[in-house]
Parts: sequence; C-alpha cells; structure tokens
Amino acid sequence: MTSAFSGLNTMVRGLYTQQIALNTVGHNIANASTDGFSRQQVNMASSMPETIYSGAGELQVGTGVGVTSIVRARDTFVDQQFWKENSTLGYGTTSQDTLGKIEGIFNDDTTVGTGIQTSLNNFWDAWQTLSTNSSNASAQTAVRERGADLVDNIQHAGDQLKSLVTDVNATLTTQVAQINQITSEIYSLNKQISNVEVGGQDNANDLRDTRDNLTDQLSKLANIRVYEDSNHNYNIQISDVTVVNGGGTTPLATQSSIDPQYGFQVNKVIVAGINPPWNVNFTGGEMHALQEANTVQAQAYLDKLSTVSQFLLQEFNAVHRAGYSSDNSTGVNFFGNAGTDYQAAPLASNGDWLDALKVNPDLYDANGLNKIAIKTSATSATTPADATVAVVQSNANGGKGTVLGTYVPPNANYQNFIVQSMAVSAAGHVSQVRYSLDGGTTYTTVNELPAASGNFALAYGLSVNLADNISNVAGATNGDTFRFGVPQGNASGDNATNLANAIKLPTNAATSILQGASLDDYYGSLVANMGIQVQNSKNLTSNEQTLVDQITTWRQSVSGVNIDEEMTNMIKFQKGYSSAARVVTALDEMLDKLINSTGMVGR
Amino acid sequence: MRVSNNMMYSGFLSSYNKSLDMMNQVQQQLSDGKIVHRASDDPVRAFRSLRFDVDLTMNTQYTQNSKDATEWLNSSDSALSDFSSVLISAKETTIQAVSANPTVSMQALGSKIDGMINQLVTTANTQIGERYVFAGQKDQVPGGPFERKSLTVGGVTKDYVVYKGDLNKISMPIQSGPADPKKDSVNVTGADVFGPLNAVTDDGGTAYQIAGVFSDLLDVKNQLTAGTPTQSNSLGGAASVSGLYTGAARQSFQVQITGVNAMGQVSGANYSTDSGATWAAVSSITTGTPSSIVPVAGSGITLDIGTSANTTVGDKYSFTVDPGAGSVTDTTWLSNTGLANIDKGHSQILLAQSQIGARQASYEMAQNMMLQDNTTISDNQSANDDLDIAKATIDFKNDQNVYNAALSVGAKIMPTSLVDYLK
Repeated sequence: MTSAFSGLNTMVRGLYTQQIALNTVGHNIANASTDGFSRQQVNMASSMPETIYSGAGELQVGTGVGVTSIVRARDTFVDQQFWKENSTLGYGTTSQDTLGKIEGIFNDDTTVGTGIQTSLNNFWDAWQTLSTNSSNASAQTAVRERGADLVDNIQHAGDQLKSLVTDVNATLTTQVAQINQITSEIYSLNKQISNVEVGGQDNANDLRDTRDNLTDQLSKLANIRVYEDSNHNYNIQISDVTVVNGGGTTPLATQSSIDPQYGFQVNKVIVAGINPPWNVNFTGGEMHALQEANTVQAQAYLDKLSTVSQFLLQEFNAVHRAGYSSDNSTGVNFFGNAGTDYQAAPLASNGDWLDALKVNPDLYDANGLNKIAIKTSATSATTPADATVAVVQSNANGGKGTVLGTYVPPNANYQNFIVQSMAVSAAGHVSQVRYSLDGGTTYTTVNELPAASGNFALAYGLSVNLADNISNVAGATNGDTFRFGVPQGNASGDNATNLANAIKLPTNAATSILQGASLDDYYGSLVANMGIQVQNSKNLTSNEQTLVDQITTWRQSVSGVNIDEEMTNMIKFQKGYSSAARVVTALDEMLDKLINSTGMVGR
Repeated sequence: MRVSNNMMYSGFLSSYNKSLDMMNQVQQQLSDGKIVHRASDDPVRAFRSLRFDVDLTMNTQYTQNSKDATEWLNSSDSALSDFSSVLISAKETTIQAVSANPTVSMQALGSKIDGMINQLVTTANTQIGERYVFAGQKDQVPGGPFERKSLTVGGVTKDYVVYKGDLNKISMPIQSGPADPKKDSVNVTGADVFGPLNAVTDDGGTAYQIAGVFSDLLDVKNQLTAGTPTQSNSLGGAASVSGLYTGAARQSFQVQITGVNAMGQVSGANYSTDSGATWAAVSSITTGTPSSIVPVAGSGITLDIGTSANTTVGDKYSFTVDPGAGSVTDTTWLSNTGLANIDKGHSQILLAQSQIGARQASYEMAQNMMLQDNTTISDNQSANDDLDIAKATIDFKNDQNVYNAALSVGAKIMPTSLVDYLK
C-alpha cells in the first residue's frame, strides 16, 4: 500500500521539475544574444519507483520525475578549431592594418603631386632645365629647392615609419596588459569550476561559458594551445610559455630596447620575473602581427629608404664632385655635409645614412648657387680639327701651318698660341720654333721632333706642323708667326645632364648599391612590393574571415538559442506544469473527500 | 542542420557587409575615374602607372628642350640670313668702288660699308629673351658679345670690333645619356661666324679678342675712306699716311722695314717707288710710338707705323698718293685682297648657316617623334589607370540590386518568430 500522500509527492516532483525546466527555458531566452552563451538543456529522468505489495505480488509504482542534470550544448572539437583559426584571423586583421598604414606613407599620388616619385621627377626636371640654362640663377635655385624637397620627402617617410613603430609599441603594451588580465580571470574561473565540479557530478555551465569566452578573446590576441586537465582546469600555452593552469598564471611584460640601426625604441614581450628574461615569440594572433611590424616590416622599409639616401650621398655626390661649378670649384657635395667624401668614409649604420641626408648647407650661402657643378670642364677628345682653329700666318707666302693633336685645356676659357719660326734652312725648312701662350710676352723654344718632320710639340697636347716652303725659298724667313686659338668646345651644362642621368639611368650592377636598377626602378619596386604585401594580407584576412564565419556558424548551430525552439519547449513545460497542477487539484479533492467525508455516514 | 537565430543574424550581417564593401569600392572608382587608389588594389598596375608617369615627365621635358632648341636655331638662322645679305651688298659696294668709273665717290662708298658694319654688329647682338645668341656660353655678357671700339694699339688708333663672348657650345639634349656637343649643340658662336679671333692688347694693357671678318670689313672701309696703306704682315704695326703729296703725278710707294727695336718700334726702313725693284733708304725716320717715316724729303707725306711686337724685318707697306691729296684708295688691293676677304667671310657665314640648317632639320624630326611618343605614352597610361566607366556603372547597379535584395529579405525574415503567433 502506498501512502495516501505519496501521489502528492509525485506531483510535487513533477511541478518542481517542470518549474526548473521552465526556468532553464527562461534563462536560455534571456541569454539569446549573449556572447559565448551555450543553450542549456534539462535532463529529466523518472525517479526511482516505489515497490508496493499488492494481491498480485510486487508492483513498481512510479514516483514522478527528477532533474538529473542541466547540461550545456557545446562541441569542444569546434572550439579547438575556432581558437586556431581565430588567431590567424587576428594576425591577418592587424597585419593588414599596419601594412595599410605603411602603404599610406608611400602613397604616391602623381596627379596631385605628392610622394617621393613626384619629387624625383621634379628633381630631374630641374637638372634638365639647368643644363640648357646654366647661367640662370632661378634655374640654379630651382635645383637646390627640388633637392631639398626630395630630402624632405624621404626623411618624412622615414619619420612616419618611426612613429608607426612608436604606435605599435604602445599597442603592444596595451595588449600585453590585456593578455595578463584575461589569464588572471581564467585562473580564478579555473578554481571556481574545479570547486563546483569536484566529484564529477555537477556541471558549471555558465562558468564554463565565461571561461570559453575569455579563451576566445585570448585566441585572437595570440596563438594558444588549450588543454583541459583532470581537475577541469584549462591549461593554456602561448608559444611554449604556460600562461595559466590549475596552479597559477605567468604574467607577461614588455621590455624596451633601442634599435641599433635607427635609434628608435622597440618593445618586446618577455616573461616577467625571470633573469635572464625569456623572450616570447608569438607565432600567431595580433601580437605576432605587432611584433612583425616592429621588427621586420618597419626595418625593411627603413632599410630601403636608407639605400636611397646612401645612393644620393655616395654615387650622386660622386658625379657632382667630379664636375666644376660656375666659379670653377670642384669636389663640392650636393647632398650631405660640405667636405665629407661619403664614398671614402662610409657611415656606420643604415640609420646614419638616412639622418645624414640633407642639401649641402654651403649651397645656401651668399654665393652658394655658384657651387652647383654644372660643367665637366675636361673636354672629351675634341680634336682641334673639329673646332674652328684657323691659323693666321704673318707671311702669306710661307709654308702652311697646321695644328695637330688633342687639346687638353687648363681652366682658361680660350687659349691663344703664337708660334714663331726661328731657324730656317736655305731650302725653306723650319727646324726650330718658339711659342708663346701669353700673347707674346714670354716664349718657349722647341726643336722639331722627329727630325726633318716639321712637327713641333707645343703645350696642352697640341703640336704644330710647319710645311716646307716650296714655292718661295726666301719666303719662310725667321720670325714668321703663326697664330691660332683653341676653344674648350664643351657644353657647360653637361655635368648637369650627367647628374640628371645619374637619377634616371640604370646603375652599374657590379658597383652600385642599387645593383643595376635605376633610382626610379628601385623606388617603383619598393611600391610594388609593398602593394603585393598588402594585397596578400588582405587576401589572407578575407579568407580567414570566411573560415572563421563558417566555424562560428557551426558553433551556433550546436549551441545557439533558437527562439522558436525555446518557445515550443516553454509551451511543453507550461502544459506539463499546469497538468501537474490539475492533478494536484484532483488529489486535493480526493484527500478532501477522504479527510472530511470518510466515516461521516448519517451525520 | 539546426539553425539558431544568431546564425541568421550574423550571416545577414556578414553578407550585408560584403555587399557594402563592394559598393564602396565601385563608388571610389567611379568618383575619380581611376582603377587604382592604393598600391594594394593592384600592385602591378600601380608600378606600371609610376613608370608611365616617369616616361611622360621625361618626354615632356625633352619636348620642351627641343622646342627651346628650335627657337634658338630659328633665331640664329634668321640672323645668319641677315649677315649673308649684308655681306652680299658689301661685296657689291666694293665692286662698285673697283669698277672703272665709280659713280659714287669713295668716301660715300666707305661710309656705306661703315653703316653695314654697324648693322652687322647690331644683328650679331640678337637676343632670345635675355640671352645673346652668338655669345657662346657667355650669353648674358652686358652689351652683347660684339662691340665696336676704338683702340690704340702700338700708338695707332683704329676701330676694332671686339668679341666678348666665348667659344663654348650650348647643349640642349633630347635623349637620355651624357651631353655630346657634337650631337646636341644648338648655337654657333661669334667666332664660328665672324672668326678667326686674334688677340690684341691695347696700349693700356687690356687684352681683346678681335673678330676677323669685321677686321676685314674695317680694312675695306678704311681703304675706301682714307686709303690706308696695305701691309704685308697683317699683324704688324698699323700704318697710316698723313700729309698732302707735293709731287706732280700719282705715285705709289713701298716702304720696307729694315730694323725693329726691342720695343717693336720701327728703327730703319727702305723705300721703293718702282714696286720693289730698287730700294733706297728713307730720308728720315723718327722712332717712337708711332714711328714716323718720311720716305722722300719734301714730298709732304709721312708714313706712321704703330708699335707692335709682331712687326718684323721685311714687312712691306704700300700706298699710293695723288698730287695735292693724301693716300688714295688702292683699288688693286680692294679687288684682290679686299674682295677675297669678303668672300671668305661670306662663305664662312654660309657654312655656319648650313650647319644650323642641318641641326634644325634633325631637331624638327626629333620633336615630331617625341610628340607622337607623348600620345602613345598617354594612351598607355590611360589604358592602365583609367576606369571603364560603362562596366563600372553596370557593376555598381548590380551591387546595388544585391544590396537592396539582401536588405528586404532580411527585413522580412529576421523580425518574425513564434512569439508573434502565441496568444
């Protein structure tokens, strides 16, 4: 026989269970849009039956329902997948970000007229204009100012790269603090979950959800490996450093050092408290992208800028130093300090080249413009035969004089020669002459060499040939003079042309630091490479985003709350509850009858 | 597969974002007609765009150079034509003087030649902008490269035309590579046209460069106006005849230098009246600066010879005098040496002009080629950089449609749930 009130007990269990189930449904609906929430399900099982003895033997009477567990719907395999892909996504997004900033630094908008390529073009233009107009002061000023413009652009790009590194340093420090905060929270959750789940019966659903959410955030920042141990603690490792486990956390810290090449501050991540400090090298996540930006990318582009500076200071200057300026000074630098030969004394580090790049301050002095080397002044094999060299003879009846040889001039503009015959034989053959370079004031005597040839060597690579007088024996008298003048024959703007060519033409593959490319090509390939890097990063990011979206969808499919489903469940549990309540009412009536109306016959 | 609401929301959001991204990109392209805004949009295209820009800059600069060069060459050419016509009329004038019965007096012809010399000097000082065309690289020498001056050399004062420019070439390159004056020089210097140049130092010690052609013309003029004695050594001391001849008939004299002292002054001379067959000592000679020689006492004429370091023993000076007059024009000299010199000058000018002409032709051809290249490069640049507006607009319309469809479908599906239907 069961107790009279055992039915009530059964119903109470039913009410209780349906109530819990309904509460869970409410919890699910309330958390429908919470990040990282997994829907919870109530597992019900009928409670242990009661054995009663009746006439037919033993009977098992059900005693209602009980909640065995409340579990969350979660696929841990998907979680592992997500953490792996999320860190690659974090890496791609941040890397795209920093590369986009670098792209902005080198954004050459040639229609508007900004950027290094434009200032290179303008610089070349200025030299070309100077080469056709070399005495024009405004052309000289234009060259100097365009040079200053080019220097400004290059150094500005360098400065922006350095300030990018400063930004990245700040971000790095913030993210490290974030990592530390997350790991300490995970650690406290680890402890709580261990306590709750000791004995293996209970499920710390919401605590686990929170812990998983924190792990999601951590995975975006760094490449993590997660492992749950037997005490339900999460052991999380970042690149061989166990940042959190059941026992405690390992906080990370930043340490700043000065880059030896460029002198800016670089922050790197270390494990705090160990001596010597252990460097943490991230292989994924945002931290990896930030580390790369600091050490690899900024360096690479600064190196290219310093190569350009080195080219200008060494090779461009070499062409300038070899030339002569309008006040005939030579060996003047166009870029850098006056008086330093950058090819003979190269600077120590790449950063030094970038810092040393400036227009020679001497060019800004009062007569500084006259120091721009526009002439090469050494003639290139211009033989007098090409130039207009007419020999004027005092004795028209004498032998003819011809000028031979290649003229290598001094710095004088124009050179007059006076050649006078000294010793004339009876046959009219001249065997000795004297020549003057200063208009007849001083003479130098020269004998013919080789003998009987009539050739006499003069100065500056020239010689003169006096033919024998064949018609008039008395014609070639002593003292016949032959006069001629020799020009320089060179264009004065030609070193300006050489300088313009130094920027435009391909360099010598063996000796130049540009290794055969012209300066334009070198810069163009810098821009192209950067573009390819950014494009790759964009592609990586969008691919990863698609992948992460897919995994998220999968997760949502398992753990997400479907309102309609919850509504249906709500109806189910509500009906269950109200039915149980109805049965309680029925039992109550029965008991009422039993208590109040049994044994009251006839009263 | 079980679908949760969040799946639908996040799926909608990501697709919506993608569609907006596409529209954004097309809008950026349409707003300025360029395909590439950042190097990452298309790195190869960006690189090519930079290259085209460089090529276009070079082409523009070289085209400008060739235009400057053509201007310079044209200016030189027209000046040279002027020179040529002046020299032709100088030749005509000289021939007129030489002809048997000149209708105009020698003086008048002489001053005509004088005027032509001045005209030549003015034309030789032509400018382009503020640069002198025939001055070599000293293109801003004040007053112009040519100047007519009266100088005293060796005691004798004469007119000379000095050249103050230099002999360098002006290069206007139209291709990359080092400057080569043989290929890309655009000027002819004063020396090329009016040379050869002789150096002369006046008595004050200043050195000058004298232009040869002008010297020849001045000699002709002097011969016409004042009957200057001709000299065998053109670089020897300048000579002039003064006084009036007391003889009865025209007489020609030759004076030969027999002694020159260390200072270049004449110390001894012979004279001949029969064209050099016999020689006799002159009657008196006063050595100085200039040295004055009286060949025949009482003849009334004196030959002054200036000091010159180039005066040498054996130099001869010839002149002819008319009774009651000074030295007369030596038409023999005019018709031989004078005309020959003018011809020489003329052919020198024509030579310079033909050089200029050849240069003009080659620069013109180069300019045409560069203009064509400019069009080609611009075309290439446009094909590389510019957006195909028609295609982009269609793409934009497409994207817009997709965007609208996504929004309207999302709006219909997302808000409804079972809650709306439960009482």
